[in-house]
Amino acid sequence: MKFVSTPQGVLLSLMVLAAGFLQLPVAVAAPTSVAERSMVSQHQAWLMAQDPAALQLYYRVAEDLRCPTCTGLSVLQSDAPFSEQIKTRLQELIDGGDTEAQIRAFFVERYGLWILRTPPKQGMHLTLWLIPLLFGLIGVWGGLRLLRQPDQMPAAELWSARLEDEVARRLSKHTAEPRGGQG
Amino acid sequence: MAHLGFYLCFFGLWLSGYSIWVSLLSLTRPQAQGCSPLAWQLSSQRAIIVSCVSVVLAALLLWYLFWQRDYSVAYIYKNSSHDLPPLYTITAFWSSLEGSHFFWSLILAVVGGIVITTIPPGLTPLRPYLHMVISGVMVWMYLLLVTFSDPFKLQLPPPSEGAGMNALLQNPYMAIHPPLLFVGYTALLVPYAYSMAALCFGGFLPGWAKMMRSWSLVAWIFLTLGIFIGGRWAYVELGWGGYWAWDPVENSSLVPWLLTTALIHGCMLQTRTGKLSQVNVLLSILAFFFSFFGTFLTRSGIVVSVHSFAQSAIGKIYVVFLAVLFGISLWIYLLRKHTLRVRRPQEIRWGISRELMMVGGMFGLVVLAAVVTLGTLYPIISEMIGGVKVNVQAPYFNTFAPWFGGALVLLMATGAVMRYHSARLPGRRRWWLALLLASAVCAGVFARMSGVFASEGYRFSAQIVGSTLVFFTALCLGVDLSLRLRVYVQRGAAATAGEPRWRRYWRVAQRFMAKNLAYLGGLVAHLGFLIALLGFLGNYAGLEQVMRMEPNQPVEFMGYQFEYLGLDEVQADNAALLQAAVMVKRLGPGAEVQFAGMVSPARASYPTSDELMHEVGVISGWWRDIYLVLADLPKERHGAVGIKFYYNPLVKLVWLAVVVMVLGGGMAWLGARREARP
Repeated sequence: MKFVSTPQGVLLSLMVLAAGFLQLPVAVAAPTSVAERSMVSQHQAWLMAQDPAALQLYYRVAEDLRCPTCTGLSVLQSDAPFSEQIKTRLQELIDGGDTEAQIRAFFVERYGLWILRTPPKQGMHLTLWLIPLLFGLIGVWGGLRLLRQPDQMPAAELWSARLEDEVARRLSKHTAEPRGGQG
Repeated sequence: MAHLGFYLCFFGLWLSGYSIWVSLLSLTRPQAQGCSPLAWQLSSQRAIIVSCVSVVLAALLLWYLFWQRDYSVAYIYKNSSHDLPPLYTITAFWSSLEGSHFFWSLILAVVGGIVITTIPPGLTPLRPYLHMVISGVMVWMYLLLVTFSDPFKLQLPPPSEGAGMNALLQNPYMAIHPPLLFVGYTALLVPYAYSMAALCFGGFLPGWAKMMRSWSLVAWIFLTLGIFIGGRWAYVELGWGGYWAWDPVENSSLVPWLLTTALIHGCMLQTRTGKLSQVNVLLSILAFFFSFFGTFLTRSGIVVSVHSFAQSAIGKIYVVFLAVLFGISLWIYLLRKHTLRVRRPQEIRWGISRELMMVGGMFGLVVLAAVVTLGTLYPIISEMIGGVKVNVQAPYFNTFAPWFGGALVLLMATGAVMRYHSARLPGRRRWWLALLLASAVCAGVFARMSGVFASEGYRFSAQIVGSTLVFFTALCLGVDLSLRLRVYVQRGAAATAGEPRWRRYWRVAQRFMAKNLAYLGGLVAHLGFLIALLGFLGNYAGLEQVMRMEPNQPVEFMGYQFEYLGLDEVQADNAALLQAAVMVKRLGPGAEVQFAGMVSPARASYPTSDELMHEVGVISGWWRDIYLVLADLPKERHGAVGIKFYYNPLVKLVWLAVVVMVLGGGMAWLGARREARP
């Protein structure tokens, strides 16, 4: 307790961590700055011509549409012909000046809810989204309730001694089964 | 020859049934036929061992037939061909439905055999129940083997060439991923069997919790390895740049892992404080049930997944089995759970203490398992109730998982510094503030050095908060370690006064290792989990780019220069590879360029499939992977190729994490076994 409460203790823990994470980059690779990164894909020309708001809209919607022919991927992650079609269509819609809601409605109308990677947060599907929240609330509520309890704990008692008594009592009921048995 | 395999399985079925009957007899009519119950139990034990031997023989026979390419066996015809290399000839055994079920039965039989021969002396009263549970599960496995999924089914006349093994599975990671997961799943049989035995017997015996804990650890180690190696396989073989897609079958391997993790903590709590005994029993039932549930998802094809290569009509009968398994287990649990209560309810008190934090963590793990299950099953539920086809894919899980991760890490930190039965925190308040500050500094330096942080607001703050929490938890684990070490240093100082200092420290370290192996294992496993979380945080900053590469015209991406040299045709065993040779150079801070290696993203064509498989090229560093996929093949001989570049930060930490976690799990297992010895 005292050891950690001293500056040496804190310093030591810090150094252990620092050794792991700070010395590595020097040896391995020079870091790249954020500015170097540009988000370009095969629809390079289109993407280059967009302003940031349109780009964000594109990524947000493309990330939420499923690739119809693959499993578990978005159209953004996929190069399948069907996904390419959808991406092209999405670009046309953005060029046409549609809002995000309009674009989503367009795809849902055309392919059904199935085209979305997650069901919408309305109607029956709301339960899917609310249940995890409910679990979270239960956790927080339970935690708070226990926090308000008086915090003195019973002293550590001789748990193992009690257990042995209990075992002896129960074993005596099972007289048909002698202790030990064959190995 | 194939007939012999079928009869061996049938013999196993018969013996398992016999073992159940005899075990029942030893319980209900102790003096039947003038034999003692012990004699009946011995007979039952031998029946289980012989059935284990017979299924091992049957498996060896199937391997032999694979080696001989005996296409008169339908399964071998469907899953092999003459050009299959030796390694995949062995792994073709479990490459589709019948074989993987057979392989699972094989491991289950072996694990069952190990369990019933290693029952510690104090737990022998549980023996008949253990026999019944293990044989009961085996009866189901053998029943499927001789009916719906018979690997020895004949196909006459034998074709001259096999249909070939699934090309996706011809990868070294796929050779070990299924066996590891199967071992993990089957090891869950043991906690389940011991739980059911305790319920039937009507109470805990000394050594029960430790048995549960060491076998849960075995299951945990293999599940961890299996899941991560599956991720590694997806990373190098599927070619979409990631390792975890929240695919239904991935999820159904994650759920038993989460439940097993909770079970391990529960067993520790039970050993230390006597609390949670009923919860542990329920957790082990659930973990075992979900290991079968995962198989059901894979086999039945009711959910679409990359793992759908093992579908069949086995689904319906599996539903019956799952219902029976769950129904019987739950029925026995509800009927008998009162027998497990050692203390009266009013004696069980929870204050702020280490056990409360652990229970919080277990709650988080179980709830996460529930959310993952809900998301996985929701498409089926929605179609059944509303008739609407919907998907629940990665965005749903990614919405909730980070919150659970954060809560778990926070509980891990507070739990580490607290003590059992005690609400006191060590140290003064300002040192905790200092610790928090230190971790924020660590996170800042990490962000600065690694250059892997996202530029976008939400993602960036998630990364900063996440990494601060991770570093804080690591520091708290360090505090816990130093608190424990201090005791040993003080004790050691008195005992070894006068010796040289290094020798004193060495002695202390030795003593500490000897006495605290399980604790150290836990510490290492927790650190591994933290490393994995850091790796996951890197996902917030990934990006990708497709570039047309003309031969000998270098392009730049994320601080590297790539030059496409040409396309090679390579024949590797049975696969024809089209490899793009790409030379990689690292761009230095000035204008200098340094050769960094060659990568060859490729497309592979296998004789048995029209689809071109991916072989990715990866330049792997600690901070980032540059991941190359050959997206478009050239139109003419020396034309340009389309290469998709992915920038994947911190992926290597994820692979490092699995090594650390498994190492920690192994140490904890050794420690638990050492404690279990009288």
